[in-house]
Amino acid sequence: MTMIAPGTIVSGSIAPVISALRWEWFRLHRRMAFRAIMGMIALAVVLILVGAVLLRNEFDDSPVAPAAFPFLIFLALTVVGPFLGIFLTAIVFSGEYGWGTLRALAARGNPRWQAASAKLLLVSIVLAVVWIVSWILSTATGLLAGEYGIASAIVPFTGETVGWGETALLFFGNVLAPIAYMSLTALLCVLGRSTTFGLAVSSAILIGESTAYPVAALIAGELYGIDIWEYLRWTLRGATSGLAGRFDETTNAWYFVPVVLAYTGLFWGLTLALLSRRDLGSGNG
Amino acid sequence: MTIDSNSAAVAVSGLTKRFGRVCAVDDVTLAIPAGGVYGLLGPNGSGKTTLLSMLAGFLRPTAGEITLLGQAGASGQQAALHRTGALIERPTFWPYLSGRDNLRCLQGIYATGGGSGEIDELLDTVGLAGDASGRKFGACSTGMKQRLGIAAALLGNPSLLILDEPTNGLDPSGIIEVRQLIRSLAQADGRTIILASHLLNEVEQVCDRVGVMARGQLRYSGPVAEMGAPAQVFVRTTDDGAAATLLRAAGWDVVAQSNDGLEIAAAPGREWEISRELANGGVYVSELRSVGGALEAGFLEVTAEPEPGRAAQ
Repeated sequence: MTMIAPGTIVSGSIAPVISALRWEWFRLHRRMAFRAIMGMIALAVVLILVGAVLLRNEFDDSPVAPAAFPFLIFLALTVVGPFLGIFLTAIVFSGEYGWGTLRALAARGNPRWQAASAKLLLVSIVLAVVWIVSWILSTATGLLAGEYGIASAIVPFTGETVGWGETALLFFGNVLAPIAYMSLTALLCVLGRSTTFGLAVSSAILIGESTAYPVAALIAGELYGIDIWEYLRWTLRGATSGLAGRFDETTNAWYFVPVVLAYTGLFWGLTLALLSRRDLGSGNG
Repeated sequence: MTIDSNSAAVAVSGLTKRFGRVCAVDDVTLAIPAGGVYGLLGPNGSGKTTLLSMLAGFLRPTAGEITLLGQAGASGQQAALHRTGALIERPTFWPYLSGRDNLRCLQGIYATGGGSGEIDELLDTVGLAGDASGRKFGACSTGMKQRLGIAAALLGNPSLLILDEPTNGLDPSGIIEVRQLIRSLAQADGRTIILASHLLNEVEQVCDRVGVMARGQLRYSGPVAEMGAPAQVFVRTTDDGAAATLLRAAGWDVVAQSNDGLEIAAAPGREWEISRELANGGVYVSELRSVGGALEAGFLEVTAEPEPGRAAQ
């Protein structure tokens, strides 16, 4: 009888992904576009923090203002997060079709899902790291702000301290929402066999959703008296907004977690299935 | 000679690939013996690259079976590809990385082991040691890219090597170096090399066996020496009559004799023996050249398309 050693599955399927992840990072951190995006984020965070420290004594009459400054970091990342997910995904996929390097990744019998998973995993990790660093900085600055507590540094709308559960959800939502758009971008890159296609269409979807939904809701409400937000909240943009705590105050943000996970899983699954079944060209040189 | 598909390095059966209405590879059945260099010849669009891309796992066959290094089926092919290096169509690398970093990256992804010592050795083998290896791939010349592609294919010392026109873009000395490298790689480790080429003399010089494709079909597969008419050498001497007598006496097949000179059946590379034979007999050569090699004649014969009128009859 053949004995299967414990950990065989791990070493057989996960280890190559981890190895591929390492070499994805080896390439990604040498990309100028990646360095430029990370540099801009770092610069924005530093400017906000410096502003918070310099202006900390200017808002003695306001219970919210000192903590609101570091909150800007979080707010900014919430707004730009999906775009960040889209751009980072476009960077890790960029050139793979044009240069034909998907062939290099899939040579020697390497399963294509491993290469794609390593890319998506790397972008997820980068997004998580960006959020962890910003959360730590926000919290640290919130502590400096004093009497309103750590969580108020993150959600200072009311000036009241919110619970750790809500803080954690906000953090989780800010990571998960961009990952859903990251999966959408990956799917579109593979579908169109072009990073430009993936970047353009996923950005158009995000912008289109963000601008069309409020207009559609307004028209539906004014003309027909229908609240279409009830339906729109289950779309990708609706769910990711809800997850980030920006939908409405009455809906529990946790409801959106399975919805966003379902979108992410669907896009990811389709990406891997398409990539595995399609022929790989040698690019354009 | 029939090759047992079990002992073959590569065996394909009924292999077909369609792109829409175009049939790029049409029901190809082929067995390539382990060890040696197998040449794949064919005009542009004959299906060579498509066939090789299917062997390397880049294209999915529409129909048919592939057995690589004795392992059949999709999972078997995937396992065998771990021991297969390929350079198909053109080298594909990340242009913003140096040649060395590209190889490091691929070595890590393929988990072939070997470390930096292997990369140094491969760069040296393909003539890219020194500063050239530090140049970004995007800034490399066509020849350097091609050499790097060969180095990547050799990562992990594969048992099977698939090379699609590896001398493309190389200068004459580079072409000679690569041909010598291919021969030495086949001889040193007993590995199997499949070499697709447009160049008949390249296949003639480097390959033991050859397959000829046309219109997606395999028209011939067998030893190079058995393909088509025997190669001939044209020779003009100071005394053609005496030369013919001398050569016949020495066992040479004098195919034709005319006022211009003699045509002698001789494999490529044996011209000097004819010259020596004649000089020893006191007949001196004024002109000596190969006349349409065996492969050229055979290639034209097997790739010839029937005339429309005849096809209809």
